[in-house]
Amino acid sequence: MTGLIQIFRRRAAPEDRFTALVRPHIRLMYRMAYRWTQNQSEAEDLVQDVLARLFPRLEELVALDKPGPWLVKVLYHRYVDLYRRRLNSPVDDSVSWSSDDTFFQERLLDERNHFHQLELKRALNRALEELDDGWRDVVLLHDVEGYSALEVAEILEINVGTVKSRLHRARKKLKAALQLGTIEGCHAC
Amino acid sequence: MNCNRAKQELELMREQNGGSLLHHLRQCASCRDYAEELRVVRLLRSMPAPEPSEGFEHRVLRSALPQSRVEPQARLRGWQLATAASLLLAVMMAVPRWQSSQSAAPQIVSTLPVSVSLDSARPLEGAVIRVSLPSHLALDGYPGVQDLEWQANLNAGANRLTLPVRLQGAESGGEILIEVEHEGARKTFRVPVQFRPSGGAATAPIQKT
Repeated sequence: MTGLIQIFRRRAAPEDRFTALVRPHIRLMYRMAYRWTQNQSEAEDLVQDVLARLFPRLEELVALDKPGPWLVKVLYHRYVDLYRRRLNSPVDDSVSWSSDDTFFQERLLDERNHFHQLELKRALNRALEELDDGWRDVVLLHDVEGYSALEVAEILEINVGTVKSRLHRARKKLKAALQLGTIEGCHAC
Repeated sequence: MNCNRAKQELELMREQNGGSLLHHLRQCASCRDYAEELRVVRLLRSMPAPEPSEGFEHRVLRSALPQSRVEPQARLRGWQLATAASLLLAVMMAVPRWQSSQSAAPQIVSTLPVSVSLDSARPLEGAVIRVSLPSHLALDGYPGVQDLEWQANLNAGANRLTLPVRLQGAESGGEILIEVEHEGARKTFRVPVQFRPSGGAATAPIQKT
């Protein structure tokens, strides 16, 4: 069976091989792009931009055991390149991360039954704004999208110990922010 | 109830916690802290995200494959527009090069080609580019015109637009406003330009609005 697959792979057109490899990960890439950009259309464009650059790297993709985290790593690099401008560049064109409040606002209107949970999530998403970029990246990858600490380390090119310590500190900060947010929410009522 | 048991109970994610667990949580700050952390992690894990637009996967795959890539853009109004801008992720870099007209005319007139590189995530057909200049700056060939607007089909990738900026006054610098509009969405960039009489020119960081 494996032999047949290998023969098929050899015979398939590069375009088909690329599509077969990438398609299962497009949604995950989009979700991660959305976490970073906090904007649906920007997330779509970011994924499109990354994929448009990947076709020439088909052989690199084929050789991967787990293309998912690798694709997210490429996505992350592109996001940093486009949104967080190079520190050494004389041009500072960095775009700060800000929570997609409009999306939550629309969902709050649609999901009155889960209003409290959604309010908490919105508060938490807002609290992510206050985190350093490096901490937020770890939280978004590990806690929000469920990548393992090892995968996060690989994607962000940092060591696992750093991932864990950032996660610990970030959660502590988020906990405090959420408690504060809950109290403020109650006062508002 | 001890802490180990309490943590196990908390991890079961029950809708409502039992009396003994609640009693333990009232007395144990460490377990309360753990419970709070679990709550944060659960909320993060179920953080919603909007669905991509219809046909997204098909669209991105089609654009990723080589045969669907768009050919580079030709010259536009005499200005270099190798490829063009994206509304979404435009990143600019001014690469000025000093040029000074060495004519014997009493008025000093200088031209500074300001190259603007824009990073486009996708092709933008029929995008509108607007350039606004302060009164003491103009573009070569457009004396006295402070606002220019034209339409262009823009491609994905790194794009370059060179503006021949002309100084027409005593001030040595200014700010150019560039706006790119596509299908109702628009992005504006501020490009500070500084003329240096000693040769060479510098620009300040670009402000995106």
